[in-house]
Amino acid sequence: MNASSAFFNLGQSRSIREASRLHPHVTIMLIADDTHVLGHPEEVIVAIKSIRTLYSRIGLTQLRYLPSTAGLEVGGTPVGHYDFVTESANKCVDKICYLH
Amino acid sequence: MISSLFFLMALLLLLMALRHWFLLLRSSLVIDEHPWSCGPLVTFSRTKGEFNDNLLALLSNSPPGAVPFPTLASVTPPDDLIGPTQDDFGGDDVVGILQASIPPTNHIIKPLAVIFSTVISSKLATPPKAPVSPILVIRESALISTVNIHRPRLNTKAHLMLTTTEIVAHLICNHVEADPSLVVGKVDCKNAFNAIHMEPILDVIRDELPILLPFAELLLSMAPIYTVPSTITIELKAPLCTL
Repeated sequence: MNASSAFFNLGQSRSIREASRLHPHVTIMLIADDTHVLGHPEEVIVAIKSIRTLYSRIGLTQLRYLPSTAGLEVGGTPVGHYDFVTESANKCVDKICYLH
Repeated sequence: MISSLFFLMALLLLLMALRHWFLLLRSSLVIDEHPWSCGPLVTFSRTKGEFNDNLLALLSNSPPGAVPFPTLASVTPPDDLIGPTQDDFGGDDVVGILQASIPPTNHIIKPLAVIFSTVISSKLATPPKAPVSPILVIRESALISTVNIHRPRLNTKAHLMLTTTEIVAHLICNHVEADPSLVVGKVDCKNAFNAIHMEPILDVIRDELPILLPFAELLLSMAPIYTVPSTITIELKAPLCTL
């Protein structure tokens, strides 16, 4: 089955509401299939473990390993270490300027 | 006939008012400059690529204020860490990354990343002796990244239209920059749109949007009959029905 983004978010909504209820001290933000958890480290880690458990009940069991880089992309926007942000921006500029 | 004309004129006026309101809203959302921009006027860390070559040429003719940012070592072996050692994290892997704002002549190695095993270490509850920037990677579940963020300063006015995605990105940036104790974790699901079960989606629609239920069932209940073999090259923009 291939769910559209809207249907996907509907399907995950109850899991996220439950996670939000269980972990009121973190902020959970969703962009399509990406789930972002903002808070203090120990609370974020526990919340992510809860989300992983809740997601597994709706079929989202395989979470991809993210390498140990100095940042992450939030909706395509690089966030993190200076080098990570700059490198991402340079790649984007290269793509726009030289590949098109 | 007259009433129809009157109705059309009213509709036209309404559309013009809406357009005017939209333009006003749009102009109010334009940001003149990144509120979190910092660092030197022109900075870069890339050492290869065509863009880098052009930037080097640009910098050679640039005003004195524009200086290239030094290339930083990416990862420092755990043994060289100053501050928390591997033992402080219960034997889990620790990698350090140089802090970008520190000149290369005065290297202070600051551990920024901690890789945890499948079981989260309780060491987090008791902070290590030296400060650690909480960029954390939890194996097989999420990446947590934050703090000491140095964004390249834009030397032109940055006009940003805030979209929903950008709002989330800016929100996260602003929070983690304002409060170094915060981190953000990202849960990335593999093949999420295909992996999610149909029942939870239909359950929500059944309870909260029942009018959409027949439509949702129609869309979600049947898998595609035809699949494209990997040996066929698909031309982009070609209609799928020709397959």
